[in-house]
Amino acid sequence: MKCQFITYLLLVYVFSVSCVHAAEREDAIKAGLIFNFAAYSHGDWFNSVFDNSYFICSESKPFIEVGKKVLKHKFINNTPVKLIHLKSLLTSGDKCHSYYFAGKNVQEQHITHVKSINKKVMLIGDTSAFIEQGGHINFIVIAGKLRFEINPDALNQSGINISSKVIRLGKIKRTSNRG
Amino acid sequence: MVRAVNVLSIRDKFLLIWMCITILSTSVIGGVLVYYEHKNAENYQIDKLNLVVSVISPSLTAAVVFDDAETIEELIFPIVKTEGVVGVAVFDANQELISDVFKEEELRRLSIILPKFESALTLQKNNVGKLVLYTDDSIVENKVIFYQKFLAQVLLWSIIASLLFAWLLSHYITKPLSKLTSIAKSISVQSNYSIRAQKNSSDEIGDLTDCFNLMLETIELRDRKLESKVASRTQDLEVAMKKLHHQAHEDALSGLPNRRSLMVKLDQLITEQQPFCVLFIDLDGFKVINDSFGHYFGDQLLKEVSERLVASVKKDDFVARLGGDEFTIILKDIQTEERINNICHHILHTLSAPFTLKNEQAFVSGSMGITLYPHDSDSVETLVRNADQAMYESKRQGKNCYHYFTQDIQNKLSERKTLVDDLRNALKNQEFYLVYQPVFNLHSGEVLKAEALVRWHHPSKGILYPGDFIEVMEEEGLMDEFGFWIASSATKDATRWRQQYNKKMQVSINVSPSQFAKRNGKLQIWLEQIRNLDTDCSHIIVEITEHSIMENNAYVQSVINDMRSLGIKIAVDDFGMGYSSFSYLQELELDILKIDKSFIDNLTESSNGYALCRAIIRIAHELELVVIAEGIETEKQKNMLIRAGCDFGQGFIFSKALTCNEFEEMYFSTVIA
Repeated sequence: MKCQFITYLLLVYVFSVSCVHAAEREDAIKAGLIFNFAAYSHGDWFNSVFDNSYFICSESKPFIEVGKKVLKHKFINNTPVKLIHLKSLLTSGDKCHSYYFAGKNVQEQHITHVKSINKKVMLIGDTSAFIEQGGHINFIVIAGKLRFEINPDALNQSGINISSKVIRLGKIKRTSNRG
Repeated sequence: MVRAVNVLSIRDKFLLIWMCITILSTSVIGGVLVYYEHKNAENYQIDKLNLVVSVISPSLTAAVVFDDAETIEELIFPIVKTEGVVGVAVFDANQELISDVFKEEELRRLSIILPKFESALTLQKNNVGKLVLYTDDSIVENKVIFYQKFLAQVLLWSIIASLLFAWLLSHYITKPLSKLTSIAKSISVQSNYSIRAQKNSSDEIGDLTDCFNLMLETIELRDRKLESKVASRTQDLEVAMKKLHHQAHEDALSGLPNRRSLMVKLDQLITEQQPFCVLFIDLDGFKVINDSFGHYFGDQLLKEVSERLVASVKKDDFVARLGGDEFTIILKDIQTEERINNICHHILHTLSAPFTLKNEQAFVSGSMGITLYPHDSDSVETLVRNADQAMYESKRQGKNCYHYFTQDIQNKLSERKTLVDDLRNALKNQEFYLVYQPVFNLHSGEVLKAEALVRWHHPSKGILYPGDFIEVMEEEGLMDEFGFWIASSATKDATRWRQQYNKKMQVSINVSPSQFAKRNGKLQIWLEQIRNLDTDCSHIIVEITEHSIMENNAYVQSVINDMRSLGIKIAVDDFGMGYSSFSYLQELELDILKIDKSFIDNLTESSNGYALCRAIIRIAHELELVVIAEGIETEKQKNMLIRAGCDFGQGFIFSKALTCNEFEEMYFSTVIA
């Protein structure tokens, strides 16, 4: 019984460790993708002359931690990338250039809030209705691979022109009733 | 090669050169173009790959960045369909293969050795991966093959076009030359140097045409000069030919046709089968006149004779001078022998008239031979020979007469010819031998002299006597050599007898008039031989005829003196047959007088022969000459001669001629004993 328990604990441990690693890896990929979205975009949401860093913000601390590792020494238009952890979704993030909404319980008001604080920010999420809620790019998993949905119109409204190369890599999703 | 090119015409050479240049230049240009296109194709391929890479790289970089394998495949798949690309591979920043596509699966395995075209995938100067294109040379090969085909066609068509153009050009260039050649041939064939070539251009061919025409003018001028010169020389030659013909067919002295003309005329008459008569005339005594009056006088006489002969016959008849004093007349239209005889008589009469030349008068006569065509012969040579033989018959019959050719003459001549041949062979084969007729002292009966006589042992006719052949020998000019043999042989025998038997036996040797008359003949050699013996030759007696003495008195005297200086005794043979002149007996220093047999034959008591004989003997004795009577055949003749005072005698009554051995046996054996 004890052995079974230990085994169970070990399995739980292994499972939990593997889950942690899987989550980290997913975050790393997402951090890379977010960096690439910025790299393939241009517009007045980011001015490398005036902005001394490209800020990627998220309220997910694990993501920020992993992202810092992944994007360490990364530059966008010769501007270093920095990751900023926000305490909550409601925290002001007016410096952010990209905003990652981690977690599945992102509400439309969160997105609206972020937009109200900083209109020119790239909004990235990973909830199924993220685009409909006003988000710009949404991570999705297709056949075990992390892919993304993208709303070019919404990005344009935020002063971001993302490269068509990126757009053709993602799944375009438009919301005609939203700005 | 050079020889093969040399036989080509200028046009062909031009075509060949043009084609060589065309092919060479086109080949060089084609080669350069192919090379250029090869390089161009290579650059094109590189440019194309660069373009493909430049087009695909951003999207591919994005796909790599976003790790979108599907998109990567989707992007690289069309690339392999591009010409020159057989495979595409995409690697990440860690050089790990993300995706690859090949045209054929086999190529994947060979990807290591295939040519590569690599391009780095970068994002904001960061290397995110690598795009590798595996290539082949299909672009270059296709382009080169295309250009090769294209250039081959261009070359082919350019050669055809060049050939056509070159043919036209060569035709244009060589046409004036061909015209010039054609004119040259035409001039050569027609020998017409008045033709001129037309000048159509001012180039080198134009200059050549000018030179050609100038040359033709020169030739034409020279031709005319030559023709003029040839015409002049032809005229001269014709004159010379006429002169030569004249000289060849006419006698220069008399102006009469010569021997050649006679032969032609005879041949012509025989061809026409016209009967005619040939008279052959030889002047009698012409040589004496020539020698006496000189050749100029002789020539004038011959001219006069020619004129008389021409005047003696009709105009249709033919008179020719054969040379010397020989003339021939052809009498045509002769009907009867009487007519011929009349003409011959007329000719002889005409010739007998005196010839007055240089205020001198000369007399000649003619001996004529007559032959008739076709009666005697139908051959020119035979007719001439017949007439000649008939003429000789006239000479033999006493001259100043004519004689017809007969078969008898022919036969006699044949016999004579045989005899002459036999004589020549006899001299060569030594068929002659000497016999000796003893000469008796009519008072003592002693034999102290002998006459050497000759006999011919003929192979078929037996023994022949001098009367059978001496005359022919004289006429054929053999007497000199024959007389030398007789004299030498007799001298040899006489000398031997004197040495061997120590008896003074005198041997008489007959020397003919011809031998005596011939200066530097063999008689002189014989005398020289005797002189070299350096002995007394009183045992040798040379018998000469009256004729010899009469011929040339001064010369004969000198020869006689020569002989006498050697001790040789001189006897006058056959005295009484000829002139019987006592004056030369007085003038010449002679030793012996031999009375001819004809005197002896007439010796009878009642006749004058005895008185004459006695007178001769007395006169001879008065001139201190020893007298020998020849041909004593009877005792009566012998006694009469003894009574008349004759010293010696010879004849059959004493002895016939004996061979050398017989003579020795008969008259020397007693001496030895």
